[in-house]
Amino acid sequence: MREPTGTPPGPKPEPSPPGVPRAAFEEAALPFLDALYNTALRMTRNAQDAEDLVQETFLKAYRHYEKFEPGTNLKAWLFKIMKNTFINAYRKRQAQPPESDFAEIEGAFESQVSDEATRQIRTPEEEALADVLDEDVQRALDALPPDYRMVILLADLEGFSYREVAEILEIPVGTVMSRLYRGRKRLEAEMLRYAREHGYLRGAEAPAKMRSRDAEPPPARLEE
Amino acid sequence: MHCRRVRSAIFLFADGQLGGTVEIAFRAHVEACPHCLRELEAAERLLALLRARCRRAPAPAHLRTRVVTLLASVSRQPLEDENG
Repeated sequence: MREPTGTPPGPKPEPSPPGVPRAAFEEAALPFLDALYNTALRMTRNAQDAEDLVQETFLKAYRHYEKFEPGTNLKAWLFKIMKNTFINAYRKRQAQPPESDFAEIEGAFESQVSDEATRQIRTPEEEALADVLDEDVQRALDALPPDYRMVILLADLEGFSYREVAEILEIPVGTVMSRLYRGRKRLEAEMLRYAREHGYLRGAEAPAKMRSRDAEPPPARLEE
Repeated sequence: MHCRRVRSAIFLFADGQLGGTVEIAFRAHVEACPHCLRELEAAERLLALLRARCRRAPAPAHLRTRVVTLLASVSRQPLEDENG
């Protein structure tokens, strides 16, 4: 996605789609520039790549705007284009995508999460989570595997419904649920770790329960 | 509803995705079970934290300009016939 400044991404410019007035497209789509850029930044973790990704997303959306059904969710449609553009760019650049290609998982949501859910016992110290720094929230989010990060970005930061997230990522709603569950749990665990590092949580010794959870290997990726 | 099911449905409830009899059963359990109530409160705190504390930077001004310029160049293409 790195290209000289000002050069339109993509192989070569094509004629504009017939019957799509640019002004109408810009008026409808440009209000989502900030939202797209923020998510792009968190997907690519690089400002230049994020800008390229957003530019290419707008270009593709414009070229295919006649395929957008008026009255449906334009924001979700733009995010879906961006997700596909992101995946394709990485497939082109690398032998394999960064960590996963949004692969499907098998199995029902509830059976996947209920065991680990009931294993947890919350300690009072964990309620000090409110004291974590903004940077720690960012760091924890950036540290998540892309599959988890994406559902959290879309659902929690962009406010998409489960159904919209499923549509954007082209995965079943059940997969959205399980990735949200696991992603949020990992995020919470990560932030608690930072909080302990910074000494927000009382006591130098972490409670035994928390230690044992730290000792566990990171949860296996859902795709495996 | 048992703790197991309640725990796995905590985020669904917090996201407003439960409904009907499942939600009624969920609420009844949480009211009676302090452990699950604590989990629910923690989940809600986490979501509130996420929503409130994630920085959202506006896109750089030059990006908007670039996008608009890009779209304009695509629109002008047939007239300019640069690649013809």
